[in-house]
Amino acid sequence: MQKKITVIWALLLSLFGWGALCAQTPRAEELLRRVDQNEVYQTIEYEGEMIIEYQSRRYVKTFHAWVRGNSDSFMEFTNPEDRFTRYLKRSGRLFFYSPDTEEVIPISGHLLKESLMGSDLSLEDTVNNESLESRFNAAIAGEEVFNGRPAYVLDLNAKNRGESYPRQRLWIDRENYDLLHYELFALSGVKAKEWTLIRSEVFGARRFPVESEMRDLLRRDSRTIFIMRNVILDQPIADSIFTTRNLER
Amino acid sequence: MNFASLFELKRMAFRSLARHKAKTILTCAAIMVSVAVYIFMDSWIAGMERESRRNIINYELGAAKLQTKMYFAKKDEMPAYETFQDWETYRDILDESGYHAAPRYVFSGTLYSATGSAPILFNAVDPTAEKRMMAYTGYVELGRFIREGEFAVALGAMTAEKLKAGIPTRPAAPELEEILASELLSAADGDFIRSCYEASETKAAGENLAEGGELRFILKRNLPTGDFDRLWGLMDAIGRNDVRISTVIDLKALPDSIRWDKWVGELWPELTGWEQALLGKLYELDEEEQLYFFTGGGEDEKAAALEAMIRAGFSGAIRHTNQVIDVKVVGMVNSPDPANNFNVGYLPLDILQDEAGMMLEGQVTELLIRDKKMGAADMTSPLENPKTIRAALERGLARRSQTLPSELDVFFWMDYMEDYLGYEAMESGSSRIFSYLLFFLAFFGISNTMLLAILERTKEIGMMRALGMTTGQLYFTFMIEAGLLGILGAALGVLLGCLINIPMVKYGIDFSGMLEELGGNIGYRVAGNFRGAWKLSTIIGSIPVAAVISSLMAFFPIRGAAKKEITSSLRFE
Repeated sequence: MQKKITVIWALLLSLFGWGALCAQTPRAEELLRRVDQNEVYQTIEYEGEMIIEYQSRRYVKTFHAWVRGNSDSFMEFTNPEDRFTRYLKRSGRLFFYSPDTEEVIPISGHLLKESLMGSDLSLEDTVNNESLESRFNAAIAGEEVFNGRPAYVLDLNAKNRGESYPRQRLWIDRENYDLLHYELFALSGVKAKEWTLIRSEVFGARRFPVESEMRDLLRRDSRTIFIMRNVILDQPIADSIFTTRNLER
Repeated sequence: MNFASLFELKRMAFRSLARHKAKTILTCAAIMVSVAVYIFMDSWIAGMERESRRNIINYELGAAKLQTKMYFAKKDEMPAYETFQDWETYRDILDESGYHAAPRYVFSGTLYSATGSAPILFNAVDPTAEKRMMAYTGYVELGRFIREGEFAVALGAMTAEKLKAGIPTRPAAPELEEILASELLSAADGDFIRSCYEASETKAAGENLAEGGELRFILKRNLPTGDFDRLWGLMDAIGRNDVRISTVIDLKALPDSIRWDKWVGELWPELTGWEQALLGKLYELDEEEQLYFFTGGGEDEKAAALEAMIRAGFSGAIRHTNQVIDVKVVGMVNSPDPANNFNVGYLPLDILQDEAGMMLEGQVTELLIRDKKMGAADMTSPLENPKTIRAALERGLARRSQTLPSELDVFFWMDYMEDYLGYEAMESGSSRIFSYLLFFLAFFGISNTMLLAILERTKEIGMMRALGMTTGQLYFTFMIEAGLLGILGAALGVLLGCLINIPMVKYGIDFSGMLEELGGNIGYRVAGNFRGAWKLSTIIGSIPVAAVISSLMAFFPIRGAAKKEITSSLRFE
């Protein structure tokens, strides 16, 4: 009898503990919403720097970028070697301008995935601005300490076929909901890229990542530090920025 | 002018040539060289063109392709989402009608090896059909061709070398050292690998590998087949052949929602009237969200709406999913067509059907077609006309109570090679212009020779005219003389040109080193050995053309002499 009472108590306690844990852990969708609130913007303008470390060599690329929604973006490189090299994404179509050839070259969709100026990032990575919540089903996989910060681990699976990376794993800061780290998986399940937050800044009510590291895991000994400076969020950007005339000027 | 006088005038022309031997020999030599160069260049160009075209047909494309019209319209963009199903039926019908048919799914991607990466054009093929039809499959220099069901790739030999996959054929000392340093190799394996190479400078096997520097080693080509297999196995064991394909799966899909600005700016203006009506029916605007939502529709309506979006170039209808596929390099292709040897990979089609591959689910981008009677050295046959192939397909489908889908059509190999054919015309034109210039320079030499001959013989001409020679006879004599010079020079030129051409046609010149330096692309689809081709029309036509041009070149100097008063000619010093 004594044994039975102990077991019942143990069950009750564990149920209580589980309930308490559930009460503390937000739902996966809620976590995604928090991440989206921090990271998805209407418009952004910034001065960027990419520090590319590839097989013991180091390259620094600087640029000025304007992004509107998820379909329009304009990038102009300012470092001496690539000065006046420009990328335009307009209504989902990508154009590239090289000052050497003085030509505008349309780039077909899949090249959005190719390395941007030899970095670990693709152009898509730099302009991707779609909400995660609308595209993925999320499930909490556990809790871990990441880079000294307690974090929720979320597994994302694409709701529809055709998602760029159909499976992702996210580490979200338990306290401030910073996206600390994510891993991107190809359709076959191979881990293709990983991103790590280095520093975020507060802009009004949101925390926005301004310094991060991206690793393209298919490239050996490679990583890119991506830094955003003088960030202006959600301010109107003139239509004239996202034009081929601006690309060729 | 009777026959006897004509004969006499011709004899005079011959005698004049014999009298001025030095001038005759020099002028003939100039014509000979120009005709020989022309024949040589013409043979070279004809050889390159013929071989290139033959290679394109037998090593790259087949004679024709069955493909969707939309793919063909956008072929420069390589729209891998423009696929079709039921290719097995078309293959069987073509087989019954006397054609080989080989399915392919073509896509681009990046290949990552342990040491680097390269952009590659991947052809996912049915290995059996491909071997039956495409000649490059017989040129797997090292390793073997792919087999059904294996996650494997046969790579262009130059790209495999660049990515340090497969057996290195010309490794630098550090590369060979790195291989030998692998912990997965035994001492005996190391000795075996060493014995397969010879140092490029000393040609001595077992050169001290530690010296490093620029020392290169050359794979011995006379090794027994078993040794090549063992060597390949060892490269496999140390992971040298493990590569990754990074690519994107392009999928056509009707979007669930479209942002208002995209709808208005990108999609709507590109649609025709009925397409606008259709999409207006299938999508509804949510003003609060500023989104057009898909509200539902029949399967036919959805398919038509999707096609309309694709035709309009609406990017939202194509989704791109990242894919990474691990494969093993099993062979290195080194065919006579450089297009197979650089940045090209061949994979088995059957491994790409599901999520581990490209989610093809039975789809292909093209069906390559070739007349069964044609061999690897042949051009196309009349049976390979797209209309004939299409008719054969339609007849076969009718027998099965089916019809050819309207989105499919048969296209001739030339339809895909506009760029190459443009290059060929440009190259051939510029080379011919060069030859013509040389040709005309030589004939201006004739004009000059005749001018001097006439000046030298001004008194003689005056005397003959005083004795009754008519202007016509004067023209005839000197034009015959010039024509004879042309015939003699051209005949010698044809002889010289043919002599030079014999080794050019039989053996050719090996430019493979230069081709490698140029990255494999010189425009012509010829790898390494450039051969000439006999062009009888040029050889036979050279002599009469040279005779006519030479005669015409003599016209103006004779006119000057004919215009001169007879008394002035007689007084000429």
